Amino acid sequence: MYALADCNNFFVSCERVFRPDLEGKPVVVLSGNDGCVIARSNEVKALGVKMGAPLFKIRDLVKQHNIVCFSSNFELYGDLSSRVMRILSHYSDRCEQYSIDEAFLYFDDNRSPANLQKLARQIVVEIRRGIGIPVSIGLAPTRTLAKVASKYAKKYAGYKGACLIDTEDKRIKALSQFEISDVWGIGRRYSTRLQRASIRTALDFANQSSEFARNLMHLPGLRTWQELNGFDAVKVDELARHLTITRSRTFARHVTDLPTLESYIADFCSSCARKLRQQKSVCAGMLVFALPSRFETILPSSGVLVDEQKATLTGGGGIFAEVRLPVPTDLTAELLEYALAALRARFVGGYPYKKAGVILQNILPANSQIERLFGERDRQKEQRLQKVVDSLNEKRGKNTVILASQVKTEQMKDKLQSRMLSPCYSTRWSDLITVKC
Amino acid sequence: MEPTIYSITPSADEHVEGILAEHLHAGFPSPAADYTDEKIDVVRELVRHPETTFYARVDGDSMLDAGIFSGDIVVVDRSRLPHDGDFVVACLDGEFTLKEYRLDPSGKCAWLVPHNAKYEKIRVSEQNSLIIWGVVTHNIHTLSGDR
Repeated sequence: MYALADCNNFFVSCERVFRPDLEGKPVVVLSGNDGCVIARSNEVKALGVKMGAPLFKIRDLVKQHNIVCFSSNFELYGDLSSRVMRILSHYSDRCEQYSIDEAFLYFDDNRSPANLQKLARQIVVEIRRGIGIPVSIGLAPTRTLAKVASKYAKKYAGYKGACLIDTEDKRIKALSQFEISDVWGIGRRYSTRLQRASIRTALDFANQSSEFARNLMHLPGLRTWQELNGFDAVKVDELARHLTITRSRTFARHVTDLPTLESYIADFCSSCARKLRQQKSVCAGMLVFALPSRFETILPSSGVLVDEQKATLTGGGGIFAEVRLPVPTDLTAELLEYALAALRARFVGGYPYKKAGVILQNILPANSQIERLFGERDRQKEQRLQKVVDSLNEKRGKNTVILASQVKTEQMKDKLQSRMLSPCYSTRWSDLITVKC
Repeated sequence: MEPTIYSITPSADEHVEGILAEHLHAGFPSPAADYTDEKIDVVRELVRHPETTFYARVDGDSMLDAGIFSGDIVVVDRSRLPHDGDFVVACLDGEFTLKEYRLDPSGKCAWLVPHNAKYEKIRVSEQNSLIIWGVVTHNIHTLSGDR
């Protein structure tokens, strides 16, 4: 049996741990630079504020309903996340952290499902009391079903934090009321295709033939289909490796010159590459984009654009470059070379850029690197250099050693608009909460 | 090949020398060698549940007679259920406060009790918004710090 433990409105909940006065009040957390909403409390969701909404578009609502806004404080969220993960790992030898606020736990079969549900409810209480974070747990024979169950646990208080799908009846009932677009692994692109084939619920999809799933969505689709039908099909190492790595930013002020844009791209490349090395993978392709303000919302997070969108973009000064790397790599400098070359080739002056980013794609396990013997680059040497840089940054703080092209954004960081940043209550001696005596 | 840059830091050098010294002396092995891992770790003694332990800075004099002074740092364990007589960090009507937690024998209300005659104890009933945020397990009071 799998359990998916998912923290509710995690970033908002983190802020509330040290601000209990904000329980029950509308709260949002904003992206870096305070551009967009990246976490919403239930009260804010009820007001109809969508994930990713730009702050300037909801200013009136914020005022009208006294929505409390926070800049994102990843030091705080990271610390509370690791506390939650440590508690979860007490309960299972196989605890796979999936994201900052989610983890899969595996339980073998010597416990009855009813007992597991009881245990899950205990875990929910323990984390809620001990750390202050509300958690929902879904229990089911596969990870995909456990995810479905966790959504029900979150939605209906009657489950007391833990929902169990252990029988065929429950599986069918749960899937029949579950929108296909909300199923783990389906994604926006496939859900429109599925809806066109009048597949609306998870059950509609699960009841198709396996060939249907495979033809439409290849191997990942087949896996999702299997998982929804109760067969454990997702592999752990695939789980850990994210399919794409995205770093992007909406700028507080328009960027019009190439050097500043380059510096941002360098920042994104460096951060993406660090993530890539952390998860021990390499990538064979990437997208580099920069969008003038009127196209700000055009790019979906996965970076998949249809041809007409691409045409509109590039016609209006938008930069959208698909880069294929000759050899899969995880080296910051190498990724950056290609990214900057692509950017420079497409940059036309005169457009006010509002958003830019880098999306790494075609991510493979690092051991599949076939290159080492080929090419003019001395990769071993570069890898040694990269290791030294990484360890320095790990020891002395994130940006101790940076690429020269990042200097400009580094200088601007002092001016970064994080005006609503909360203190790092749980990680810095200077930021502890104060108790009145 | 590993980068060698670490070996030139002073702390790493000391460590290497320590290990080498232990192994190079060919004579009678030190009887203390097996015990050198033991060290007093204050955090380990004070923090039973690291996942649920937080720290807070004290501001005010209402707990003076209990030996808790303004500027002290208290260790707060959120995993403990508050019992009658525990010192707690509570959030009362939106503000953090440190007091002794007392259940009323009647069972109808609770009390937040200060330890300073200057202050009244606070009656807490269902009408108040009271959250017991955590139980205070230790107080860190500095007598003479770094000079």
